[in-house]
Amino acid sequence: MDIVLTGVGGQGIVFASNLIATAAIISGYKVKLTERKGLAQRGGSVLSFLRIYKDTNVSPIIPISSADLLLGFEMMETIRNIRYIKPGGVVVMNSRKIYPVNVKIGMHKYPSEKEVREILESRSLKYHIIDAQKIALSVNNPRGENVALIGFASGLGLLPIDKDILIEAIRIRSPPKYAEANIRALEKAYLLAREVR
Amino acid sequence: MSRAEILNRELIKYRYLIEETGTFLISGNDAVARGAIEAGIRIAVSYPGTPVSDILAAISKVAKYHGIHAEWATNEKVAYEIAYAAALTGLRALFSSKHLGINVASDTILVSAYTGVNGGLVIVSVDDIHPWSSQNAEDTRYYARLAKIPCLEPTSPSEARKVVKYAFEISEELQLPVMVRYTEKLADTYELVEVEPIDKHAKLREAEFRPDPERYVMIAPHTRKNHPILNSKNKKAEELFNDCVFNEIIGPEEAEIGIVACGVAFQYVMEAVEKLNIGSKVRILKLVTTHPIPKKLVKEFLKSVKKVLVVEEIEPIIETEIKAIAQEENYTHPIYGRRSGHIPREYELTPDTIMKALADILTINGKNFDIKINIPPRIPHLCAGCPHRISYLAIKQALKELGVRGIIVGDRGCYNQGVHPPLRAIDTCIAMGASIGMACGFYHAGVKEPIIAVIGDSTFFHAGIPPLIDAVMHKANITIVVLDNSITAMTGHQPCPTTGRTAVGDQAPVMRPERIAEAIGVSYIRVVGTSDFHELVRILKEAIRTKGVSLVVIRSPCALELVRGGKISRKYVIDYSRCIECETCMRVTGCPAIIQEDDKIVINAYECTGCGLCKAICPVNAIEEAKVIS
Repeated sequence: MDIVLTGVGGQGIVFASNLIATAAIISGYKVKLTERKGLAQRGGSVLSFLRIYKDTNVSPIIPISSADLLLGFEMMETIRNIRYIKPGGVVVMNSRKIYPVNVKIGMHKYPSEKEVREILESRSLKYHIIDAQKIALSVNNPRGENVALIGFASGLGLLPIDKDILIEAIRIRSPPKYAEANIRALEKAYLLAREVR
Repeated sequence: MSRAEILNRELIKYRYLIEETGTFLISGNDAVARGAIEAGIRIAVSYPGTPVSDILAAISKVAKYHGIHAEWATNEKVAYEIAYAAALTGLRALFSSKHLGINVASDTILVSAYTGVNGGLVIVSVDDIHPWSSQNAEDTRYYARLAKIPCLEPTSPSEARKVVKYAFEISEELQLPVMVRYTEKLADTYELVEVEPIDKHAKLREAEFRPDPERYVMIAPHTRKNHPILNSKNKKAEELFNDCVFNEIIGPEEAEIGIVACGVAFQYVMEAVEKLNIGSKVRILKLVTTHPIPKKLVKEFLKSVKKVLVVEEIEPIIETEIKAIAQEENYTHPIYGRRSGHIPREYELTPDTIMKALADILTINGKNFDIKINIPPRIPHLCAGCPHRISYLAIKQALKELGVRGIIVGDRGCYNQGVHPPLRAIDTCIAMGASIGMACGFYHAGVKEPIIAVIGDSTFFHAGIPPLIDAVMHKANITIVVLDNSITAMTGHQPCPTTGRTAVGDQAPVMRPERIAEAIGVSYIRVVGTSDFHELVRILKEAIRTKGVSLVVIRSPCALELVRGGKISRKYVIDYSRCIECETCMRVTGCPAIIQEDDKIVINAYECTGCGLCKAICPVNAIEEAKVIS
C-alpha cells in the first residue's frame, strides 16, 4: 500500500509518517519512508512517501498515479500533490488553509474551496474533507491535527493496520506527556469516520 | 523481530548506534553512521550541509561512548585534513560532506591519493542532484576519477551500512582513500536495517606516524615516483571489483535489453521492470563499484544482452565509460541513456522516468497519467522573529535613506531566503564566503553604488576570512555585514566557532568575527543587536558612508533557538483602535506570525517571538507589547 502525506512544515507530518510506519512494522509489514523536507525552516511544503509492502519491489518514490491514499494536512499542498493518487484512490484532506507569504502579499491567489472541490471531482477518486484541528481541539489537543487525520483514515478502514496497533505506535513515538492527548484525538476521529462509513 | 524488541528499540533515538545487534527503522545517512561505527572509526569529521548533516549529528551523540573524536570542522578542507592525517597514523577515519563541500576539500583530496593512507579513510559524499537545497546539481563521482580513488555507490540504506564497512576494508587493502557516494533520496529514505557487531580490533588501534618523506612530502620528484604507484593501486582496485559481492547480475542468462543501474536508481529500475511486467526480457547489472569500473564484469554483461540502458545520477559518467568498453570489445548494439536522450539530463530520477525510457526503447505502453494543476508556489520564508528579516529591512532602509540602490552581495545560509518577496534583499548567492570576494570584485571593477556583502557567522569562519584580508590589503571600499546568530542554523543548528561548544557538547572558546576584523586591520567595526531597528539603520548608514572596509556585526540569536529554549519573554498585539488597516506589518515584513483572519490582520500569539520589527515599522504606532504569562 502506498500513502502520500503532504502539508506544511510544522504540522507534524514527519511524526505522522513515522507513526504509521511504526504501526505497519509491528503489524508485520516492511516499510519504506521518504521525506522531502526541502529547506529546514518551518512553513515550507512537506511531502512524504510511505510504502507498506510485503514481497514487491518498491523504491523510495511513489510513481505518479499509483498511491492508494493521500493524507492532505493542508488544502493547497493536497491539490499540488494530487497527481500521485491512483484512479479509485482516496484523499483524506484537512480543511486547513495556511497562506504562504506570496499569497499574503498579494502575488498569488489561494485556490477557493470551490476550485479545490472541482479539481477533486475531476479526478476519479474518493475524497473526504475534515476539520482535523476542530477534532483535535474538541479533545483538548491543540497539536493533534496529524493524529486526527490518521484516526479518520483508520476509521474509514483505509489503513491495513488495527487501531489498537496505531495506539501502541503512538505510545512508542509520542513524547510521554503528549501520548494520551494523541490517543484521544485518534479515537475521536476514528469514531467520527465510523459514522461516515 | 518480535514486538517486544521493536517496542524496546524505538525508545531511544540513537540506540541503533549503540547496540551490538538488532533491526532498526533508520535512514540512509543513519545506516552510513552505523556502518562507520561498526568499522571501528576513531575520527569522524564534517561540516554541516543538507543532505549530509545527519551523519555527524548522529555520531556526535554517541562519540564519547565509542571513544570517537567527532567534530564539526571550520570547513570541509580542514575536516578532510583532520581525517586524512588520522588515517596516516593507522586509525580509521570518516569524512562526510555534501557535494559542494567536496569542492572545498578537493585541493587536499586530490593530492592525498598520491601518498595514500594506512588506516581506512572513507569520504562520504552526498550529492543533492535535483537540487533541493544547493546552489548547483553536481556529480562528485568526477572527483573519484580526478583523484584516482575508488568510488562505491550503495543502492539502499541496508546496503549502505555494508558498503561503508567494505570501503574501510579496501581502503586499508589498497592504502587509498575511498569515496562512498550517494544522492539525497538515499540519504533521506528510511527502511528496516539489520546491524552487526562493532569491530573492536580497529577501535583499539594506537596512533602511530612513521615518517617517510618520499611518501608524504609531495614535492614534484616524490609525486613523480608515487604516480605509477597510484595507478597500480587503481589497477588492483579494478581487479577486486570484478568479483565484488555488491555487484549483482539479475534476470535471465540472455535478454533483449540489459540495464546497468547505479545508486538509488537501481531501486527505480527494479520497480519499473516489475510495473511494466517485463522481467523475462530484462537482465540487470547492479553496479556498486563504479570507479574504477570493473571491465571484465561489464564485458561479460555486454555479451549477454542485445542493447543496453545505463541508469545513473546525474551525469552520464558510467554510460560514457561503458561506451568506451563497448568500443574496445567491438560491441555494436545500441547503448541508451542520457547521451541518447532516453534519460532526462536534469533533476532526480523517479520510477516514472525509468518506465518511460524502457517503454520508449522496447516500444511498449508505459505511460502514466500525469496532470498539470495550476497551483501557486509556496515560497519559502524566514521564520517568525528571524533576526535576518530585521537586518535586511534595516539595510534596505539605510540605502533608501542614503538615496541609493546599492548592491547586496549574498552568501550561503538561511539568509539567502532574503531573496524572496517581500524582502527581495540580495543580488547574488554563489558559494561559501563568496560574498566578500565578489564585493571586492565589484569595487575593483569600478561599480559606483555602495557594495554590501552579507555573510553569516558560520560562513564567515568557513571561507570569509581570506577575502576579508584581501579587501583590507587592496583597500576595497565595501561594507561587510556579518549576520551573527552564533550557530549554523540552516542545516539544523550545529555549533560553529561563535557558539561556545563543540559537536560533542564540550565547552569551546567563543570566537568573534569583530576580533578577527580588528586583527586584520578593518578600521570601522561596530557590533549591534536587532532590538532597536532605528539604531541599526543609523549604524548601517554610517558604515556604508565610511570609506574603505567597514564591518558591522549584527548579533542576535536564531529565533528557533529562542523558542526551543523557552526564552520568549514578550509578544506583540495590534491595537485596532489605532490600526488603519494599511497592512504594512504583513506586507513589508512577510512575517509568518502576521496573518489575515476573516477581515483583519492578526498577530498569531503562538507564532510571535516578540522581535518587535512590526512595531518598529508600523506607521501609526498601533502595535504594542503584551506580556507573556507562562
